[in-house]
Amino acid sequence: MIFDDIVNGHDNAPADLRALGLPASWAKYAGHYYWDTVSVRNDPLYPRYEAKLTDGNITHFLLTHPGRMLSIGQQAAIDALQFRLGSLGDYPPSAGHPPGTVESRVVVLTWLVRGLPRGLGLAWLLPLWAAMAAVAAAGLRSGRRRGRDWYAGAAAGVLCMIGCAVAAFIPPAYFAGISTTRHMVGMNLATALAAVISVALAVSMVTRALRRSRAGAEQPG
Amino acid sequence: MLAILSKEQYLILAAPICLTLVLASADRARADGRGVRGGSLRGWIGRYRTRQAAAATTVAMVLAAAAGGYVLWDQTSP
Repeated sequence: MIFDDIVNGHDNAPADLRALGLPASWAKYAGHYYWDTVSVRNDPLYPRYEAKLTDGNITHFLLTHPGRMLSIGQQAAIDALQFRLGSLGDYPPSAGHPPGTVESRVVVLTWLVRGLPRGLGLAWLLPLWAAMAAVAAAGLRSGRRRGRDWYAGAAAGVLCMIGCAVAAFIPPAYFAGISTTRHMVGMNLATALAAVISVALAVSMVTRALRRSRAGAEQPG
Repeated sequence: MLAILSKEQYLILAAPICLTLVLASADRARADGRGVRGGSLRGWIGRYRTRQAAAATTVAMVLAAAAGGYVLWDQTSP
C-alpha cells in the first residue's frame, strides 16, 4: 500500500516518508510493491522500520492528509469500476477454452458498468450510493405510513448493502494496495444488489403514487 | 457469517450487517402507537424490547464475537 499508493513517485516522496516516520532514502522504492524484485523488504533498514509499516500508521497518515485520502480513494474507485481484469480468464488450460476466456453469466453487469465514461470513480459511486439511500429512506417512510412491510424490508436490505459496499471499499482502497480491481468484488457485488432492490422499490413506489393520483383525479369532486 | 469470515478484508462487513440486524428488528407496531409512543426516546427503546430484537441482538453479538476472534487469531498468528 505505502509504496504503491502513497509514496508512488507522483509527488513529494520524502515528505510523505517523513510523515510516515520512514527514512527518506526509501523514496527509491516508490511504485514498487512489497513482493517486487526491487522491494523495501530487501533494504538493510527494513528490520529497524518494519514496525512502522502498519495499518495504524497508514490510518494516521490518511487522516492527517485528507487530500491524499480523496485521490487514493478516487484511483481505487476507478480500478473498482473496471469490474474484472481482462488479462485473467476463468478456466484452466485443461478445459479446452482459448486463453483468457471468461465465464459469461456476469457479463451483462460488467458490460453495463464498462459502458460508463472512464475515470468517473467516486463521482459515480458516491451519488449512486446517496441516491439508493434516498430511495431506501423513502421506502421506509412509505412502508410505515401505508403498512407495506416489504417496503421496510427492502429498504433495510438496500441500506445494509450500501453499508457493506462502503465498508468493503475501505480495505482494498486504503490498506491492501494490490490487485484492487479483484479485491473490490465485495464492494461491486453489494452495490449491484443494492441497485437491483432500489430499482424495484422505486418502481413500486412510483407506480403506486401514479395509481393513487389517477384514482384521486377520477373521483368526483 | 461465511462472508465475514471468508477473508481478512471482509471482517469490516460485520459492522453494517450487525447494525442492520439490530436496527431492523424493531417492532414497527409499537412505533405506530399501538404500544409505547413511537416518537419519544422511551418509545424508541420500547420498540426493541421484544423477543425478535433479543434474537437479532444475539445473532449480531455472535457475528461480532466471531469477527473479533478472527482478528485476535490473525494478530497472534506466527
